[in-house]
Amino acid sequence: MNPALIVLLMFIAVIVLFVLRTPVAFTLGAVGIVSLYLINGPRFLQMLPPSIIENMTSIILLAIPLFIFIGCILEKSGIADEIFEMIYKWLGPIPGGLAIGTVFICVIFAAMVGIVGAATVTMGLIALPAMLKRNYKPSLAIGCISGGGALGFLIPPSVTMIVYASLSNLSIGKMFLAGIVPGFLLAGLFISYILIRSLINPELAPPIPVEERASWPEKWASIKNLAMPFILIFSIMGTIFSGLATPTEAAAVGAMISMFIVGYRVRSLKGTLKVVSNAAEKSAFLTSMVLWIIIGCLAFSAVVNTLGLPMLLKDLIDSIGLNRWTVLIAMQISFFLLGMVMDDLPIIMITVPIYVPLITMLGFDSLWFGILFIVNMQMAYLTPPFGFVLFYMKGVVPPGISMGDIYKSVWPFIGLQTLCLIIIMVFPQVVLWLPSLFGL
Amino acid sequence: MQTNKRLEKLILIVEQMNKWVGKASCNLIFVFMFLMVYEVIARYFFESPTIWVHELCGYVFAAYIALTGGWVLLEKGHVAVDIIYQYFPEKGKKIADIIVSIVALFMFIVLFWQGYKFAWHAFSTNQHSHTLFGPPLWPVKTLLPAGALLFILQILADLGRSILTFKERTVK
Repeated sequence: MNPALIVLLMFIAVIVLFVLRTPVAFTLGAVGIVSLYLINGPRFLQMLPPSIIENMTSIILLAIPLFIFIGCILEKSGIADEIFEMIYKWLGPIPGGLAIGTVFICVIFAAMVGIVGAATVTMGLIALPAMLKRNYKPSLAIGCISGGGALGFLIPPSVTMIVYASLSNLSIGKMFLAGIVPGFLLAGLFISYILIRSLINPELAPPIPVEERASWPEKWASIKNLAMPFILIFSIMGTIFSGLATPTEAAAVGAMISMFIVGYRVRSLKGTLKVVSNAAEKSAFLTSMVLWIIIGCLAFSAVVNTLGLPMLLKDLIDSIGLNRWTVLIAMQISFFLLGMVMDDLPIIMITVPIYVPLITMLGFDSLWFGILFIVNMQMAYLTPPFGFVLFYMKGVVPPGISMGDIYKSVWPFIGLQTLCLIIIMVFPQVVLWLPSLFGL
Repeated sequence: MQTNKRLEKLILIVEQMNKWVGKASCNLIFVFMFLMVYEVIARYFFESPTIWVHELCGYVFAAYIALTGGWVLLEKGHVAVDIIYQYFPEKGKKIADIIVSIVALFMFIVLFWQGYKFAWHAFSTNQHSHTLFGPPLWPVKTLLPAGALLFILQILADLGRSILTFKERTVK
């Protein structure tokens, strides 16, 4: 049978199963197994157990539960309240200050935590009510939390990056380094946007009244609230980038430190144990979900590999005479469209086996492409109608704000993410400079 | 009615078991966390890196994944794209659920069967890992069929539940 036809049938089967709400892991697994059997023959099913065991015992993927664990613990630790208090004292007097501060906190959170939900959830509970109380326009308040929360994808550590790197055989440390500059660039774009808009129109995000402002000694005293997050960030990122420990070892050390932090702050054995055991349960739950998707995908990508689909596409592109940049942009658009209806993991699983080899054949850098992908997934997190953050926000905003208002509030931030994507595309140095500095 | 009761009891037993196995396995995170930290400390403070921590952590991780899969299924935690499903009529949802169960059952029966052959081969030829540590390989390889079995039981339990509610509705 014609390979292109087989692939078409596989994708139709995947879509049909998705519509029936088959979990992604089972869809990819079942379609993969059937195609492997039909195309390569029954003997090839024997390939599956060794590669499944290889992934289940992967030390790289082992970092996933540890990073999730850190996130779950910090979400409950009250650290975010303390940092917000500091931000309130320092930035409250500036127009838009609390929104700018929210982006700052999201950056700090993103640097401690590997999953995106943690920053969004905590900021939604702490910063949103505070901003609305200070007469910030809901659109700006919701937008900055949504956009800031998504930074967790790009600023290391990031579980999405770990999965991407492990599937496309990149070094995790290198990918983490590559995300830092684009992450700060995007945070800078958010902050400038908020500042400019609130300076032009202070109604949008009024400064807090003079009598409520903190005195200088109070401001300086609040700086100590940053101590714990910075200890954690340096103990994780410092050990990875200095080469002292592997990302997984650093994650384990970070997880241990985060348990001490929560113990120190909660100051009761019972309370600490409750937070820790909840975090352990949630980490196992999410990790199991992620790993079974990866396992399900093994058969699927084995078929894509044996069919040589990337090669076929390359030939097709050459024969039509398409420009390689056209292909790249088409891929970004496909990510964006998939992102409207799916989460980051299914998109990685379906596209990486086909796109990454093709991109390499076209002469692009796979690390750079990975960061483009991650920025795109940030957009997916926000894009109406099904972006995760939208539903979450609907749950925490006051009753007067409709879903339509929430949709409207995220568009400027999606625009800034698109701008960041274009900057990275035009200037690959933004991504590649920092890893090259470390000689990676 | 008698068979319905018996079926319900079986379903409950499977659900309890998956819940218990899953929640107990959550605590394995502390095992590999402590082992990894031990390795870092041994290497940097005592300059004596171990030969076994990373390999052992990998095996613990395999158990962590294999033994929690069925529990995650029980709690409906395996992500799916449900944007169109939510508009299905009640009956359509039930039929879709049954098709999904059959698809999943097929996948895990294949994994169980292949995994069983793989593990049995390792056991009968007494395979050991090619590292200095060199532990026997059958325990880790057994985890795949074990995990697949937990999935199969849970899928059957879910299927049983859909059939029971389907029956009840038609009786009413």
